[in-house]
Amino acid sequence: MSKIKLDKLFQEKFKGFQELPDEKVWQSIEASLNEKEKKRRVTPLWWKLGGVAAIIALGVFLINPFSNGQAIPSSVVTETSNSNKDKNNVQEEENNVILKEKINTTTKIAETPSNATSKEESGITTVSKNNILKNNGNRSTNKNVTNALVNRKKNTFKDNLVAETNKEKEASSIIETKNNNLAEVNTSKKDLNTSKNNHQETIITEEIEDELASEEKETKKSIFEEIKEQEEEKEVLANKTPTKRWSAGPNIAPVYFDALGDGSPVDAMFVSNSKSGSTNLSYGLSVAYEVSKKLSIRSGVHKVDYSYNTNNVLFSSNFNSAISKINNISYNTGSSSLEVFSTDTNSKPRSSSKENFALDASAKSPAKEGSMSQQFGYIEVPLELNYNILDTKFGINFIGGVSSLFLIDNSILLSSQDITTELGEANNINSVNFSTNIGVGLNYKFSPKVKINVEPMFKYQLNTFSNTQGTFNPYSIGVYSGLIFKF
Amino acid sequence: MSLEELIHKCKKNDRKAQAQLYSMFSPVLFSICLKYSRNKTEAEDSLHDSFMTIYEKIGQYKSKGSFEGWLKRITVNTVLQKYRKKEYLNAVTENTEDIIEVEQEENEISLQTLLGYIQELPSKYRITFNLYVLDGHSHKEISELLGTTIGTSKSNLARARLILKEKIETKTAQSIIVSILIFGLENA
Repeated sequence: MSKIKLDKLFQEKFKGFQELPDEKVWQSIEASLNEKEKKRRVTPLWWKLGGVAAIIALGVFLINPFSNGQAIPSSVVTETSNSNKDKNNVQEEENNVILKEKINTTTKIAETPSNATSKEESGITTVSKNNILKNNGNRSTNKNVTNALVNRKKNTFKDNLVAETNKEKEASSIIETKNNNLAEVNTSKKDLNTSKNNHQETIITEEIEDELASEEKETKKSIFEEIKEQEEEKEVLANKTPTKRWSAGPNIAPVYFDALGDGSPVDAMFVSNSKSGSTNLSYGLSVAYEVSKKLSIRSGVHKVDYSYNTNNVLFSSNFNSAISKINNISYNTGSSSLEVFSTDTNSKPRSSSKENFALDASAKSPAKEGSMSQQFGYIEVPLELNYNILDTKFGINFIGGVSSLFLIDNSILLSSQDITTELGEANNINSVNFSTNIGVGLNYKFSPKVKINVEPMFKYQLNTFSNTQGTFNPYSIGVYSGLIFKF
Repeated sequence: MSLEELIHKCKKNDRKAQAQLYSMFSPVLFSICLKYSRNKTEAEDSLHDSFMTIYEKIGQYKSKGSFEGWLKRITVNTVLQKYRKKEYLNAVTENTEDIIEVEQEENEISLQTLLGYIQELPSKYRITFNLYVLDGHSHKEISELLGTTIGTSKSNLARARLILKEKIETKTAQSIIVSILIFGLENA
């Protein structure tokens, strides 16, 4: 018997060792690849639907001023309130169905030219599907709105995709440079490769085997380096993973309150008066919980004051017993003698006492002309979803949600040039009302735990008043800024 | 189709190209999986995972260095990750032995038998033996790869060799006994 070193025995035996795997292995690989492809197609679909929902909410606000009936605002309000990820909206369901159908048919078309892997390409394919959808005929009434909005959504979606693609490209270019550093060991082989690749076609495997023999020693070093790098990457990722999900902080905002429509919640005679919104300060505390890297839920408690003015108002004390009172106002005891009228030429007088009033030269105090200010203060408890569009040192985020408002202050004031007097409080204000909120935020991270943010928000008030004359749909616009601390 | 074209198409997730890549390289990569795994089933799982990683990462592959080398690196790394999670890789003592001489019969032992012996080794010994003897890594590299010490790597290797030697010599002895018996029976 010959003595052979153990090592050499194994080395020689395993030289050129190859074994064909069973067919089932390829089948399982193929199945996994199919699943991955499905996911790749579905994810952009969800982004698209989410984008559609958000754009509908915005579009509803834009289209609303052009509506002339009262029915539409209420249906618009319902849509807006449902837009926050609520897929029960019939319109969106129909979109779902149609999108799925279209995607099935367009996939076949898309597959032949090229199977897009890069997100940019798949984004373009998705956008072209949008075009197909747009050109499709039969739609229900609301879909015309969707069509009009698809362009806007496309651009936003494309921008998001481009931003994402650029981020990906950055990341992949960083990885590529790393790989380049790795492969510097093998620079001499590159010439060998390029010259061999020139006469390809049928002799690939033979070439590869030749290369293998000369390259084995050099590749082992690269394995070691690459594995070490992968470990480092994992460590970095682990460090980045947020373990601190809660954050809270104070914020403050100037809030401008105004309303759409011409009506008046005070009295019918003020319907045609001009009204102007005013700005107040809101302040409070907000709390947020990070559900995922991109999404977080936030709430808080804020004190917010709203007020608006009705102009061209005439008021005076009148001790006449036949004083006409406004039904929606609960008069203060000291103001029960005050009478208020609109000086607007289009206003409908409630009673004939207006004419008498104007002509009554013996009134104890002369009529004063000024404005009526309705003020109300709330404790606002918002419940919003925050989506991070950009999460770097400077961040951009998108916010949508609802707020509950609990009434705590309520007064109506009359003011003219020289005096201001409180008339009383409105009795047609709901003590609890809701608003739907939408906004975009910019933030700057001082450190991983502290950031400052500025968020312009639009809040559409849903049921502030229980009885209004005319169309009076209040909203508020505020620029919320504050500090956020992570813990 | 040239290799470059094939890689280019795989980057675009062209299914046909992916299938061709598989048929070209799966034999050599499967052999790696077999060496590092405990049995054929685990080797098949590792091959599946390796190819999924390959298809995912092929976008990052630049035509620098050998493509097959790149594929092999991914495969070895995939298998290592699997076994690294499962078991401790630290040996108890630090005995080192250098080269072991083995009695070998003239009728050589088959590759499949040797493969079986390797697969029967405890994972830590098997991986160390493969990395050192079959893939040519140094103890320093192995220790850094597996997160152990050089001493541990050396003792893992020594133990692997001892076990393999024992198995081979037992097998050899068995075949000698069998041949003697057969010879005896024939001449009886």
